[in-house]
Amino acid sequence: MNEQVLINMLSELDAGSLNENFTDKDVRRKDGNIFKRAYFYIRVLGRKEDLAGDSILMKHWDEYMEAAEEPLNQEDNVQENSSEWGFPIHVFKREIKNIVKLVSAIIAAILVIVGLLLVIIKRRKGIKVSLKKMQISY
Amino acid sequence: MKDEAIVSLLYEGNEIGLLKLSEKYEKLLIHIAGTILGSRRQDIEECVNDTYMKLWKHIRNYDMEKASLKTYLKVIARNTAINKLRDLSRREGMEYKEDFTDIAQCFIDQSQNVENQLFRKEDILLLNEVIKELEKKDRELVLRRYYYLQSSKDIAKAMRMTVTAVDSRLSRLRSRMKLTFDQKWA
Repeated sequence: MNEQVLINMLSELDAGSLNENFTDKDVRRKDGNIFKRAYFYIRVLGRKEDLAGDSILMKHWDEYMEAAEEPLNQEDNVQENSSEWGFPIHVFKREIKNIVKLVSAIIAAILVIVGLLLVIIKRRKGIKVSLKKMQISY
Repeated sequence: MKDEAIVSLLYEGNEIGLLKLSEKYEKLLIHIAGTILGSRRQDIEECVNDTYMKLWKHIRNYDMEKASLKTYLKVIARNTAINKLRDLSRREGMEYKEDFTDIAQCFIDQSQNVENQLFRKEDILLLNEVIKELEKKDRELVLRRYYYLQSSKDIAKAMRMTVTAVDSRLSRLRSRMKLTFDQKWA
């Protein structure tokens, strides 16, 4: 089977017959291990809007809006998704989710730091007590 | 955001759906286009942009029961990148061949001599069957090489094999696939 024929024939396969997850794994591997990904995730949470501005989609935003005009004029259903306050409620919910995630991450970090400090203080106290005991034994 | 929610936003023509789509899948799309189009940043960007545009315009053709949104996007991105590669080979000839992987170069060389091929639906269904019958590892090898046009070196790294092992296994697989294909056809 010729390589080029195979490539062209594979182009005709329908999406249903292409269930694989190795490309996702490749992307994850590119991003590095779990700690590196967690670090970048926390950083991204802080500057999500800046990153969205860098995306390929945002660079061509006007083209999408032009393409969207036709279907939007045909079907006037934009209001369906908006709440009575005039903004899409699911976006608001998403923001709250992000804030909750961020706050819980900060609380978890504080707890870990406090825990470590307690362990260090206890150990130091323990050393002092043992030194005192040694003095008494003298 | 879940795929269902993204699809329903796109279906309504809500641009937030596009934003969420790009947040979730842009890295994957760049990876797929980048494997096929090599180091050509501008072309990769155009390919990803075309993928969004195709989905944005034709979301009503998408059937969620057939394939996940991710798979659907992968197929669009791959086919858009292949078409771009074909266009580049016609427009620029062999000028920038070193930008691409070995298999993409081979595809460019052969595309220049051959007009667009048309395949019978039966042949495609048969090929689909042949690929489905392959073992998991063999199927991954074939798809990596001939669907995503990954280089032998990248495949070897990802699948923890040597480059020689990848090449020889692919060659054997191709012969076996051809044999099965011919047997089924007969």
